[in-house]
Amino acid sequence: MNPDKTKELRKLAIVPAYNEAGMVGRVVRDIRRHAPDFDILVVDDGSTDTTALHARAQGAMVISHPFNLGIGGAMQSGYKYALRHGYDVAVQVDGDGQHKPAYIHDLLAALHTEGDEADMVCGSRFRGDPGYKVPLGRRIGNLIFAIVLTAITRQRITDPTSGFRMTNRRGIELFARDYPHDYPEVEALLMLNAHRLRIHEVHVSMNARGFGRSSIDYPRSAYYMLKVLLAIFIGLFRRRPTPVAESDEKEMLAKGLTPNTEELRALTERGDGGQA
Amino acid sequence: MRARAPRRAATRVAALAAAVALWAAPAASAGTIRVEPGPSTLGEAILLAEPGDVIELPAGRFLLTEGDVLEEKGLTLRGAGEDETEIVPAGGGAALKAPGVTVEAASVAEPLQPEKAEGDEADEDGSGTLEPRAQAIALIVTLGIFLLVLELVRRRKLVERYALLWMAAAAALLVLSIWTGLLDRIADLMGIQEPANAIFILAFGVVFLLLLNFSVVSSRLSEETKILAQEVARLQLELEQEREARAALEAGDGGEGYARSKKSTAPQ
Repeated sequence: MNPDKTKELRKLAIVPAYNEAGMVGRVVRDIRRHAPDFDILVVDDGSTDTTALHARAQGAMVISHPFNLGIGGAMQSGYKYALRHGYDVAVQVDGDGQHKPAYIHDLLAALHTEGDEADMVCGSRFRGDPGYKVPLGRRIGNLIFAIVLTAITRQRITDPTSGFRMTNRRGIELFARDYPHDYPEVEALLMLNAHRLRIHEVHVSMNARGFGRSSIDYPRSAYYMLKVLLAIFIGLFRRRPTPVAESDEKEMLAKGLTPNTEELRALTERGDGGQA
Repeated sequence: MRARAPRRAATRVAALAAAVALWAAPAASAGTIRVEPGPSTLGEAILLAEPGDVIELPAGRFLLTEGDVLEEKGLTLRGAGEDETEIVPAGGGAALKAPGVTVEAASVAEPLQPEKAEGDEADEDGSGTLEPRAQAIALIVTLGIFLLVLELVRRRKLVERYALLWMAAAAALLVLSIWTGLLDRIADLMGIQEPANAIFILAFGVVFLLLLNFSVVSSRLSEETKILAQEVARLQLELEQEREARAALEAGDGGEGYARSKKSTAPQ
């Protein structure tokens, strides 16, 4: 099913969820069915419902924030975990059921076949059939960002607001260190670009939001547009150092700080394998 | 032909004279305005007058309002005699002494609002803009702020770093309320006529910078809080994982405790 090379990699699916008790269980189950080689980490972003319980019941690891940090903070939590625990690949899958885990391996294949060409693969709704009727307002907003980002990054970007993304170790390191706040998708692309990490798009279809309505409604979408455009503008005047890929120092640090977990984990897995 | 020519010239002269008369007549009549006796007639006349006009006042007392306009237009007030006509300034009466203004055959009474005249004198001295009562209030308030800051530091509710900031602000206010001449000088330097406006602008600027500083501080705090929340949540997960793994090892059941999630991830 997968190329051998990708099997050796440690892969993590990060599922940010805020009060998604009704959906998160199904999302975790779908990921397990379509991408069993991925560990699943649900980041429960201070939910007041039973999101964490539902996720745990389906066998996901759960990080529970003591209070709501916003989608940016939740994603970063996932990337920090991925960095500390030595994951090579991380994929973001929204906890509201919008992203279809069936496409995870399309993203993985692209990340892998692109090899050194791409550091992040984004699932784009607009390189084919989006899979659902995208509201006109969102389509237009998305188009504006797409034009601006394509101009800035000089890479063809059709769906900059898509949160269905997969990144390699370099992306994980970058995002664990610094991840944008409120509406992070567009800014995250700019960050990648500023650090000379390459972006590649793959067509995916998505579901209309699984639960309730889009989190971005009309009054908010104006704020969203303004805020992101401001972030793009300011981002142009900001220089970030390119992170060193596969930073040995960081990995040592990560291991040094959590030796027991890693050791025990290795022991348990070996023991398990030995007895089987 | 010869007889006709002078006649023509005569008509021309007559027409010219008529035109001059027509042009000059209204100008002459606008130059003098007669005022009827009454409480507000003088003020109305001043407002209606053209610059340089003469306002004629009959015998009686006239309340002078619109002193600014009087001064601006450079009018002449002509009474019916010093003993007959009396002008009572509503304000300070300074307009009557202004260079462009002439008062003839009329006496000037004491102004109705002598307080303002005193205020003007104080302004000319530059010795202070605050009345003693206002100064006392300013002193008490600024002293109160100062003591409040000290008390907050004493109770450890305010870090010294911010205490210094606020105490400096309170001290500045204190200095300004004691040494009122300083405020005048600052206003002069800033080119602001009213010292009260100078203090508002200064205070606004200081408050703006303080608030901006607090926005920066609170941004940093929320960033730090975010990192702490993420770390706590991650540590909690790792602690649970470790506990499960340890329990599994101690039970010697092949790590089923930890691997539970692993096993359940197998395709159904």
